[in-house]
Amino acid sequence: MNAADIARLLRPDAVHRDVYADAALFALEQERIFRRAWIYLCHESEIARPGDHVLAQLGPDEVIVARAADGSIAAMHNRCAHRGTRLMVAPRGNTRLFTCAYHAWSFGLDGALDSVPAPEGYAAGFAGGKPGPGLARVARVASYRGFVFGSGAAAGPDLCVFLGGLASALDNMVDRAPGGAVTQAGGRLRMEFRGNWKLFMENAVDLVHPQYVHGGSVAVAREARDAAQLEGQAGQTTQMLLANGLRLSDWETIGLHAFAEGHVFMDGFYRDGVIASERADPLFERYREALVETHGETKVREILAMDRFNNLIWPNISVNSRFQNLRVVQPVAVDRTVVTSMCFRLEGAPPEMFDLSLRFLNTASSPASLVASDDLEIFERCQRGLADPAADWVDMSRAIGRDVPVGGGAIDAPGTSELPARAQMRAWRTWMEAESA
Amino acid sequence: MNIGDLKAGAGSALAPGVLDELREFAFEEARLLDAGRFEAWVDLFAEDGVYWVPAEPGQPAPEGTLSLFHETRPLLRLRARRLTHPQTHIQAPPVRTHHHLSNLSGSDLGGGQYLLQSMLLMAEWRNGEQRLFSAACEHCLRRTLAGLRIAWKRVELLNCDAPHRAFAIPF
Repeated sequence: MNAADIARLLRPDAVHRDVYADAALFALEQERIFRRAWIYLCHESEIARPGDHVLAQLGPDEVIVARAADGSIAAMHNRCAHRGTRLMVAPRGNTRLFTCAYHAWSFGLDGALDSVPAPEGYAAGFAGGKPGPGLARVARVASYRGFVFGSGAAAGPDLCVFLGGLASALDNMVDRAPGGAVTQAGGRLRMEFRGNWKLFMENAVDLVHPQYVHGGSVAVAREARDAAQLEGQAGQTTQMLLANGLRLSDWETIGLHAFAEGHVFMDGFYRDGVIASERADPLFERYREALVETHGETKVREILAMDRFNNLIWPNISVNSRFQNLRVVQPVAVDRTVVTSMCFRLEGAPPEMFDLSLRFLNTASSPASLVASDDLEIFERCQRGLADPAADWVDMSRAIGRDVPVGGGAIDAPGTSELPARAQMRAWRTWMEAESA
Repeated sequence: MNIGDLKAGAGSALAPGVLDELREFAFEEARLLDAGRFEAWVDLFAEDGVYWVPAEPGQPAPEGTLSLFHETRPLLRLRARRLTHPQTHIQAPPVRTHHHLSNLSGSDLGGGQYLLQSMLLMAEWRNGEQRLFSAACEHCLRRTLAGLRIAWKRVELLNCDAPHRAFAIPF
């Protein structure tokens, strides 16, 4: 498909249904977006020691991300250079060499061929530290504040430029750690839905849906709010459900912000109780004191004042800095998506702060979530409807006349605008129109 | 006994007749879930009862880790009410389940508490598709004036660490 074919799928106010439902277009997305853009691979804390490695997805391809003896990080495709066998099968581990189970070719932590059995059968210098057939390296790997990204394209914007205005989301998460670093901890949650990946990314900053999609949960939380149930973990979950019960006029006041790169964030809407952004309970005060010791009062006020809900780094991650969460949206097929969610511990903070982070994701991102389970159901209904060619165009025109340009291609909009979906589609068009990287 | 305190092989042999009692309790629990009587199911939990479905195999305790479900009674009550609320989209149409329990064994933990271990197969019919879940369950049951109550229930799904589509009815 050339640029003109892509352009025909988009109008300023609408998107062709093929963008969600056409398998050939999905395959092209894998090539032009997920094999080229900067894709989140892992956090440096997962591969802290030399030899540590994890498996990660770089779009459709599985890669090994490893820490070498000199502390550097490399990412290689998880296929043996000999016969193409999937090399590593455990999701994480520590090793000196990656050895293939089939014919025992071994590769170093940087992917270079280390040794082969019966080397006399090969030309001299085939292996043994000489330049030989090593693992296919991911073209570019870079870390930003401990978050490791990979790009399958040798050329293109560097990671900092790519992250643009939303590097601030990663900065803010790390700045919230009195010890100056975060550690990925607490395992992972995985949700799946039979729908296109973009449905999740658009919905994460759609502020009209909560009162309709989450109405059932809001209603039962309202019934419970007067009981003695607002203690501990039940209290946090109930507060999170209640927060979804704003009226449309309230949602309208939550700011939406889009960047030229396709990244989007929405301001926070957690105002009450244990989920408020600054509060007076003893735990938060202990935490705040530790943070002031590191940064000083002025900077701490600035850090804590950054109250955003979802920060979406295009194409496929959602960051919540306040609760130290990251969600990775993995496209599996045109109509199948897996969302992996994880927490980060704030180093130097009271350990109980991590409980808030865990409880946030348990509430928001489990397949059993009282919030997300209804979103997943709606995504599946969207996908079923979009498979029907009865109508071509999917409307995203709400508040299109109310965009406020704020410089550098960035745009602000009121809470109920469909600006986020339009901004994501603009980035989609830019990457999809480029026939070469 | 808290959920993380259980040691392998803990407890002593049950007195005659007690396993029948525990088994009947678990069967009644399964019947309530299959009948959509979710609030009555929550009533089976003790005031301080905990329902836990770990997200990774072999986890000893829910603290410090993400979970598929980790809920105390107030949240279970909220979940139960939600399942019958007309705006709960995942229940449109209502999900049907069969909870099958087998391989039941028990031990006496002392202090009026019992451990019941079982295997669970839950067949679920949702929106035109059937799913089958297999799990190993542990119930810590406590004798109270009102009868047996669940102090905690741990359900380890065989594929707990797989990506899952939305869950509606508890296991």
